[in-house]
Amino acid sequence: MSGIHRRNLLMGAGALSLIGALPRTLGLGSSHRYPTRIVFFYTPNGTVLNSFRPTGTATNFQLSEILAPLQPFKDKMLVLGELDNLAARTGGGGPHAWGLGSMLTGWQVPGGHFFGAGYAAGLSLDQHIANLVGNGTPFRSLELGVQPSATGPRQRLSYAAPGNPMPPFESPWEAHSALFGPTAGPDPDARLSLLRQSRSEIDVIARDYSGDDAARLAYHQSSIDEVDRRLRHTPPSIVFPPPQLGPAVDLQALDNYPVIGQKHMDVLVAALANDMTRVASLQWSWASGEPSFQKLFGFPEDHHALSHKPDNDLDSRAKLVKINVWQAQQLAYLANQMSQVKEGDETLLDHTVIFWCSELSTGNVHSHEDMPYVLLGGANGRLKTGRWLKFGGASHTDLLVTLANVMGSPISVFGDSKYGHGGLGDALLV
Amino acid sequence: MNPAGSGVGRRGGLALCAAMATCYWSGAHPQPGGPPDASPLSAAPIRRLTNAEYDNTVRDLLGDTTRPAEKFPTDVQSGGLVNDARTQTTSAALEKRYLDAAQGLAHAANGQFDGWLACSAIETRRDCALRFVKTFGRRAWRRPLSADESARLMSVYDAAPDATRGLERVIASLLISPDFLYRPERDIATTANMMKGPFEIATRLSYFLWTTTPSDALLDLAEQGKLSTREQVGGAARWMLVDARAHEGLRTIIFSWLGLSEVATRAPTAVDPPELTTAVRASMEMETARFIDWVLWASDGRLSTLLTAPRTFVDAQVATLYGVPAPADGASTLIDLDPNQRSGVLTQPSLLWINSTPAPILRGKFVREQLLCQPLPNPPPDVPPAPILLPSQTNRQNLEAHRRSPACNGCHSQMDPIGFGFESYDSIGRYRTIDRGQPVDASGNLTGTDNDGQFVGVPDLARRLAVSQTVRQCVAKQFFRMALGRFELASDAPSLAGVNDAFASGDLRELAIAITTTDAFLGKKAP
Repeated sequence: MSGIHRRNLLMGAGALSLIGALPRTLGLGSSHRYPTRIVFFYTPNGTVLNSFRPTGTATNFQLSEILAPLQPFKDKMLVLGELDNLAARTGGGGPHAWGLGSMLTGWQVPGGHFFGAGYAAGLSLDQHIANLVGNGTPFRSLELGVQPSATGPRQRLSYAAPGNPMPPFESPWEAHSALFGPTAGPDPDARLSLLRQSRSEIDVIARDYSGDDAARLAYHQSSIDEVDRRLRHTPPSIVFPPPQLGPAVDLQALDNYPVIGQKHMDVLVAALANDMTRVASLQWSWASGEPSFQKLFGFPEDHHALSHKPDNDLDSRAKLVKINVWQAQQLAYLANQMSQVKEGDETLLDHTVIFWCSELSTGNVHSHEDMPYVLLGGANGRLKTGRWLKFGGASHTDLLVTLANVMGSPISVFGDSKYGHGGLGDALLV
Repeated sequence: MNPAGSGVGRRGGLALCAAMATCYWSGAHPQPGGPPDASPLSAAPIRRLTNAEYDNTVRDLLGDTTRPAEKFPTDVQSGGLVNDARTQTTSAALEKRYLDAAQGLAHAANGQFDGWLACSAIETRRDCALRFVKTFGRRAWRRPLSADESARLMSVYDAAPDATRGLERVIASLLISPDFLYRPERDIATTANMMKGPFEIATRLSYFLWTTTPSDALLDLAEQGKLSTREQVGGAARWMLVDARAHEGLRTIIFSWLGLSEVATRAPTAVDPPELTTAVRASMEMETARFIDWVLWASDGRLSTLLTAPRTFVDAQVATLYGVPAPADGASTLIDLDPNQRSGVLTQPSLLWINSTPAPILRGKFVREQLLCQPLPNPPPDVPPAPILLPSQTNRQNLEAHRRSPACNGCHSQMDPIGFGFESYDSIGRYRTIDRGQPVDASGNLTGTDNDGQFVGVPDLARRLAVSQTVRQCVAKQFFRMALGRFELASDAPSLAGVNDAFASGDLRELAIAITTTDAFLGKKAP
C-alpha cells in the first residue's frame, strides 16, 4: 500500500469519528467544510463502446460522441476504462442479473427463483457507506427509481443486506413529500414514544429467532432509528429551496420516463443541498429494461431490443447511440443543477462524486468487461479528476473500494475478496 | 458467435454457450457461493404482514376499508411467491408509513370508541378502557396480552391528555408493535407437544386460508386448547373454508401461483396494443378472480375445472376481447365459450397477456415453470442475436429459427413446442386463426411430464395437463409455498408426500386443508 493510500485511510478514519459530533458545516478543516456526498447514477443495458471511449491520452483527451454532453464538466470527470466486473462472469439467471446484482456488491449473483436468479449476495456499496455516514442525516440514504419496474434481481441495485434489496421511491412526488413534507400527523407528541416502544418489543421477539430472521428484525430496528432521527431532525435552514414539482404524472406511462427522471434529479439535488442525505442512487429503468424513446426520437424500438442488435446493423446502432447520448445529457443536467448550488467558494458538485454505472458493457454480447464507468464531481478534492484512465482488466471491486475510501470508509476489500487487490487509490486519489 | 465483433468479449463465450445447450431444470440452477456467513433458510421464518394482509387485517380489526397499505412501498416478491418471508424486510420508508398508518387508523376510529367501550353505568371509563385493551389487544396481537402488557398499555392511556387521545394512543401502540406487524412465533423447543402453540396455529391458518387476521371465534378455539392436535387443526381448516373470507384467501394463492398478481398494475409496454387500457386490465383481473371463485365455490373446486372449463365471466370490456356481445347491463356475467377455442384460466386474457412478450416463449415457459415446476435458466451470455422478424412470416415461423440453433435449442425446446400451442391467441387473448396473413398453426408437443404427447391448441393441451400427476404435484408445491411463506426445503419431503396423496382427487379445497395438517405447517419437529 502506498503512502498516499495510507494517508487517505487515516483521513477516512478521522472523518468517521467526527461525524455526528460536529455541526454539519464544520469539522474537517477549512478544505472540508462541506460533507462529501456520493450518487450512484445507473442506466441500463450497457453502452456502445466505440462511441463511448474518449480518444487521446490520459490527460489530453477528447470526449466521445456519447460523452460529449459532459464537456462542460470534463475537468471534474474521470473516465475509467478497462475495469472488468469479474463477479458477473456467471451466476444465477442471466447476464443482466449477473451484472446488476454484482455491480455495487462485488458478489456473484446466487441462484434463485427469478428466471434462475436470486437477489444479490452482499451488501451494496451505497449501503456500506450509508452505514458509515448516514447516521448524521435524516435519511441514511435515498433511493430513487425511474420506472424501475416490479421487484426482482434485475430491478434492484441497492442492498441493505444479502438478499434484502432496498426498494426505490418510484414517484418523485412521494420522495419530495418524504423529504420535505410535513412530518406531523395526528398526535405528533406520541410519535417518538411509539417508535421506542416498538423498538424494545422487537428485542423481545428476537430472542426466539436467529440468523436471517434475527438480521431482518435488527434491520427493522435500524429503520426505526432512522425514522426517529427524521422526527427529531430540526428542519435545516433551507439553503436550497425544494423544487416545485407541479402536478403528478402517470408513473407507468412510457412517455413519462424523461419527466419522471428529471423530477427525481430535482428532488435529489435539493436533498443533497440541504444535507438530508449524503448517499443516493438514481436508477433509470432496470437491467434489460425497455424504456421507449418513441416520443423523444420517433423510433418504436425499445432500449433493450436495440441493445441486442449486431454492430453491423448500423441503423440500430445509431439509435442506440442516440439513447446513450441522451443518458449522458441527463447526467449533465444533474451535474449542472448541482453546480448551481453554492457551498462556500465551491458548489455542491465539487463536494460530490457521481458514479455513472451500468450492468453491462456492451448489450449485444452481454459482456462485463471494459465497463463504461464515469466518475463526475470534485469529491471534496479527493479525486484527481480531468483524466481518462485505463486499468488493464482490473476488478471493478477495486473501484468500489476506492469510492468507499473517498467517503471515509477505510476498507481495502469490498465484496468477494477473490477479485480485488486493494483499490485504485494510487491512481485515483489525491 | 460474436456478432458485435469489435472491441469487446476478450473472453469468448463459446464454451459456456455450448455447455448451456443442454437445458436443465429443478434444482440444477447454478448456486455460486455468496458471503461465507449467508444464513441457511429457516423452516419457520418470521413473517411480516404483506401489504395485502395488512389492509385486510385493519379492515377486520377496525372496520377501516381505506386500504392504507396501498401507500406503502411495494412488497418485495420472490419469483412467483408473493409472501416470501425472507424478502419481507422493513425499510425506513415502510416504517414511516407504518407509523403514519397506526396513528391515522387510530384517529379515524375515535368516532366508534363509545360503542367499543360499551361502558355500563357502574363502570368507570378507565375500567372499560382496561376491558377494551384486553379484548382489542387479543385481536390485534392474535393472542391474549400478558398482565404486564396490559398494564403498559394502560399507562399509555393514563398519560394521555384525555380519554379519547388515550385510546387512540393505545390503538396506535398496538398497531406499530412488532406483535402486530409480524406473526412472531415462539421457538417450539419450549412447547410440550413439539408443535407451534394454538394461537400461532390460528394465525397461520388465518393468513393462509383467509389472507387476514384470525376471527374471535378462531382465537376462542385457540384459547380453549382446540387447535392442539393435527385433527383439530384440519377440522378448523375445513370449517374456515365455509367462511366467505376463504374466497379471497384461495384466490390470492391461485393468483400468486399463476403469476397474475400484477395484471392490473403492470404497465403495458410499447409493443402492447392500444386497446390494453387501464380499464381493460382491471376487467381482465376481475374476470379471472370471478372465474376462480366460480370454480372453487360454485363448481366442483377441481384443478381440472380450473384448467379446462369452457366458461368465463365477461363484462363490457372483456366481452370485446372474446368477441361476444357485452352483457346487457355491462356487469360481469357467466357465459359459455366455444370449447374448441377456450379452456379455463389458460385462455383468459389476463394470463395470456402477462405471458405475451414474446408470446410463444413466455407461454411455454409459464407451463414449464408454473404448471410443471421445472424452472428454466435465463438465456446464456453471447446468445446469438434474435432472428430478424420478417413481417411476411408468422410468429411461429420467426421463432423456429431459435430452435434450429444448437445454442438455443437446449432450452427453447423446453418452451417453444408448448408455447406454439397458444398461437391461436394474440397478445391480449383474442382468438385468431390468421397470423400475419397465414393460417395459425397451433400444434405443439408436451414433454417432461407423465402425460407427454402431441397436441393442437390449448384445449387439447389442457386435457393432458388436467390429468397429469406432474401438474398436480406442482400445484401442491405452489400452495405449500404460500402456506409457509418460503420455498420448500429438503426436510419438507414427508409433508409434501402427504399433501400429494390428499390432492389425488384434484380438489383444490382439499389441497388447502391437507397442507394445514402437515408437520411443516404445524411447525412440528420429531421429538
